[in-house]
Amino acid sequence: MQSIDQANHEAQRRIIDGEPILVDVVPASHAIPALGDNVILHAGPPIGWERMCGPLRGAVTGIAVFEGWAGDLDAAAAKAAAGAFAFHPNHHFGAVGPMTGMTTKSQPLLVVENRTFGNRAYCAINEGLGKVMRFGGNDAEVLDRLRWIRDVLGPALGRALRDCGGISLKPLIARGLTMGDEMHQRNVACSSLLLRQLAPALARTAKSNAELVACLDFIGRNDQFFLNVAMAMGKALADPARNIEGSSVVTAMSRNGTDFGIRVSGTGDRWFTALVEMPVGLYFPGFSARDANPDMGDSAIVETIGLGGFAMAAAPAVVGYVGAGRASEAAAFTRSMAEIVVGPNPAWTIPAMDFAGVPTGIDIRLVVETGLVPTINTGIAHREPGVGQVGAGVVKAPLKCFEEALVAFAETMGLE
Amino acid sequence: MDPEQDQIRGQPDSLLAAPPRVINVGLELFAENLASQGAQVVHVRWSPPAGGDARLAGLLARLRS
Repeated sequence: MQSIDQANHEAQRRIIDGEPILVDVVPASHAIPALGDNVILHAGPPIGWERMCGPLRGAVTGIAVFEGWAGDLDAAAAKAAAGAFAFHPNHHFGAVGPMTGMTTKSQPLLVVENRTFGNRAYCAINEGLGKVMRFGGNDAEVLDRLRWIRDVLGPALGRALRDCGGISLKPLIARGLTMGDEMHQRNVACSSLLLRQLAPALARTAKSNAELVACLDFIGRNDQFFLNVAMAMGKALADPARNIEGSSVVTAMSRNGTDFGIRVSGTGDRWFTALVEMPVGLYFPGFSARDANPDMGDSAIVETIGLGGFAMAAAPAVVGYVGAGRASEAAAFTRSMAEIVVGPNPAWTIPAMDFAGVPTGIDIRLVVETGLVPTINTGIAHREPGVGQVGAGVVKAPLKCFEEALVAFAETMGLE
Repeated sequence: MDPEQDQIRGQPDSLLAAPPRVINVGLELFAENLASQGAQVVHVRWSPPAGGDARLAGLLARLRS
């Protein structure tokens, strides 16, 4: 039997050796056949309607109207309370979703294929900033945008990606890190690099000039367009590291606005949860911490693979955006995270740290021993349904998840 | 006379004669207070394993062996 250190190096090797390609955009029901009527996937570990926070409830009611399962938001809420919807985590179906993380049958999903290990992962398309469903928005403007994404943008992106044979994401991330992105709260460079590669294929396959202009305009105006691509990539890279006997490496971190959950390679697909914490950050004009919901979203999958808060040193500008101190302090975040991982990823390096690789492969033993918990860069949703994003900040993973995971992991190793 | 003993005996004088240079281990507040008064201080972040939880620290020790 291999040692824990050997098992952890194998887990980290699998994360690092993955070859993620953005290959397609397909309707969710094609990618995930289990997505029938009244089935709703959400961000984070499992949760029922009764414990869902405001923005998650807002998104659930909105997506039910979008899918035609309810006539209006009130009817959708009544159906949800009556148990008419089946709720499951995205992570149980090879998917991830930012913030509320709604995934239902007719939404188009980005498809990232990990060519090294042959697995695929999925994420919905980023809706843009402001009032959007991932932050709990659910009015007519939000639903109309989702319909356009479903009917126009999703199919157009699918045609373009099939036309160009897919886009290799590993070199794109490597370049983005040298251009100031950390791939969670700053995706300006990678969104631009992606659009640069997509644009000719979009032009070749567009059904009309108007459609092409609308798609280019939508992507070009959204600095966070790449986030959802990075998330699907993160899931595609992390999944092969699951279920390695004797490995204490984290394979998923996620939150649903109520609970924070982690999964650990050596303990299979069991969730270890604790109440999620409030982000500390900056608020848009007119909002304050009183308006904020506790942290949410599957987006911490990017920290799970060494990006986001772990790659803060690559993105000094984001330190100011999330209110985490001075730009000169960015490197301290990355150095701190380097203390709780198996090692650096030599393929993704940070110029400002003498080209050190991003810290990769969170070891729960190191988290519990040091008390250093993963730092996650995040958006902040309003706590009431239907309002949307009110700020951005930094949140700490709760230590309790890691302590409970350590005890369970020790049991799998014949201890306790 | 033992030269080593001489050296040890001489240390308090040299400590007082020069500005202090401090390595602080553990509680960062001590380092911050010294730094705010202009002292040269290097802080080493340290805490007991598992925050001093004996059960978890014991598990960690066994999982490391």
